[in-house]
Amino acid sequence: MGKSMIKKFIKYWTIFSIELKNHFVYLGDFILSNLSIVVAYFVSVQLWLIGYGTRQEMAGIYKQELIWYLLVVQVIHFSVDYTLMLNIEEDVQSGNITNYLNKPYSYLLYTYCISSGKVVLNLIINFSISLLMALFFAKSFVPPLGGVLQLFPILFLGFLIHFILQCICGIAAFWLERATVFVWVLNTVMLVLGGGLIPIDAWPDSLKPLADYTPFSAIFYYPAKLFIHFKFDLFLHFLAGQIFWVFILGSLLLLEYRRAIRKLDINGG
Amino acid sequence: MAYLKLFLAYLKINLNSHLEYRFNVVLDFFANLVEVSIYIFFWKLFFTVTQDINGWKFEQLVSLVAFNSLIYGLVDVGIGGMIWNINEYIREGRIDFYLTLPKNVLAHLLISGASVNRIGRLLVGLGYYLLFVPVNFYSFTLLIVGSLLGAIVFLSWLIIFHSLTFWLGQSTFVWESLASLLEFARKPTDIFQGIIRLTLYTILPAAFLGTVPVQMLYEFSPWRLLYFGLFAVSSLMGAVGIFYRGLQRYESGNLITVRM
Repeated sequence: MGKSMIKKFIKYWTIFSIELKNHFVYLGDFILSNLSIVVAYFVSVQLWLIGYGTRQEMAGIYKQELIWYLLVVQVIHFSVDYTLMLNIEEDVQSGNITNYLNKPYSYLLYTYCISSGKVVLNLIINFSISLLMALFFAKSFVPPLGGVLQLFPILFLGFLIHFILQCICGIAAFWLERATVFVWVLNTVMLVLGGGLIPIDAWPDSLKPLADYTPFSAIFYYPAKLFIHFKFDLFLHFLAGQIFWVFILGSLLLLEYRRAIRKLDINGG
Repeated sequence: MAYLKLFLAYLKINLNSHLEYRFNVVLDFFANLVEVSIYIFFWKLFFTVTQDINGWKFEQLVSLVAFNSLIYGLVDVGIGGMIWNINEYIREGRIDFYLTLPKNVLAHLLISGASVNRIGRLLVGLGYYLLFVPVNFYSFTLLIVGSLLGAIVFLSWLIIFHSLTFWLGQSTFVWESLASLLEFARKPTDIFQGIIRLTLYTILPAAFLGTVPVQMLYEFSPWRLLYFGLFAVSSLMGAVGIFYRGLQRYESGNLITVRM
């Protein structure tokens, strides 16, 4: 059991590292394709600076802290793999998915490794680019050490939740034929309802439960909030929330995937 | 007139091919409705933490979102998938088909993307405009003039960015420029200062895709309208010139395809 797990891990790790290497070949182009974050981050900071006006603090968040908060959410927004849903749709519609099903790996795990290769490199590039901008805008604020270290588990789980959501919508192409319509909608909904543009602390009390009942805040708000206001009990609370969403959405995805594959069998592959 | 007929013919073909997937058209409308509504929700939320954004009120920002949608929607119905794909046609040498026909290459290339099934964004923008802006002769005229001029500016700069592929040979720059243009267009230009603001009225003219029509709606200035009109016309002329200059560098992909 142990050995086979290790073998599986090595197999998927190899897929991930090959994908990472592929992107390194076209690193220049890859960096250029990540420059949108400069504009998006600049625009959001500029808007908030106007919003703060002469105030230094709003809803318990200081101006400098908010600049770092926006850094984290924009880095996540520009690093997640939004094309994943379209790729799955393409695999389903072209019938290409059958080429993966007869291989000795799981289609979902294979897709996860491929997508993660892109996400990891995006993350490094976007963080490096926007860090310079954040230092320019915020100057004095230094995030707590816990706030930096929490990024590793919280971002990992946040990206996993994002991946699962994308897969759920992409596999819906088995029934809907066209998942494209969901792409931009889902991105915008996730960003806004996930506290990506306005921290949930600043939302009216009547709307705050909306963040608890949707998985989007686990992608954007949790890592950004912990980055500026790290508290260990809050970290554990958010971690438990992310694990809950991974379990619920993961189960939903597996259920959908199994039904989809059965539908494929009925169609004769 | 001949091009209008061609445009309508492409719209008809597109409509017929999508009648089979009527549910997707409805889905597309609701997807656009949700996306645009979420942006309005964002501004509503933003106004709970601040009272004013450099003189902009909530209703003005809803008009901005509406103009963004109307302008993008008009171009989307007019040229559809070509918004993001002209560069791919250039890069992969797929313009041969248009070169061999007795129609203007650029006009035919654009018209061939006509997509009536993408009307959702246009309808949502129109709905929000009529819902939040008091309906009178002036606001209705501005709805048409602002949307059309904005669409001409957007279309022209689309062509300009895509045409750069003739020289650069890669697509990333085009997509990044378009994404930046749309990102800036979503915010009122008044929140920016100095060189950035100047850029948004000139070489990355995001101001014309929302801010300028809204400014004219709430405070009419003949000079602003004149500048808007002149900028739209000169952008279009410049775009056509750049495209044909670039076309001289076009290399065929020698692809043999069957068009059905």
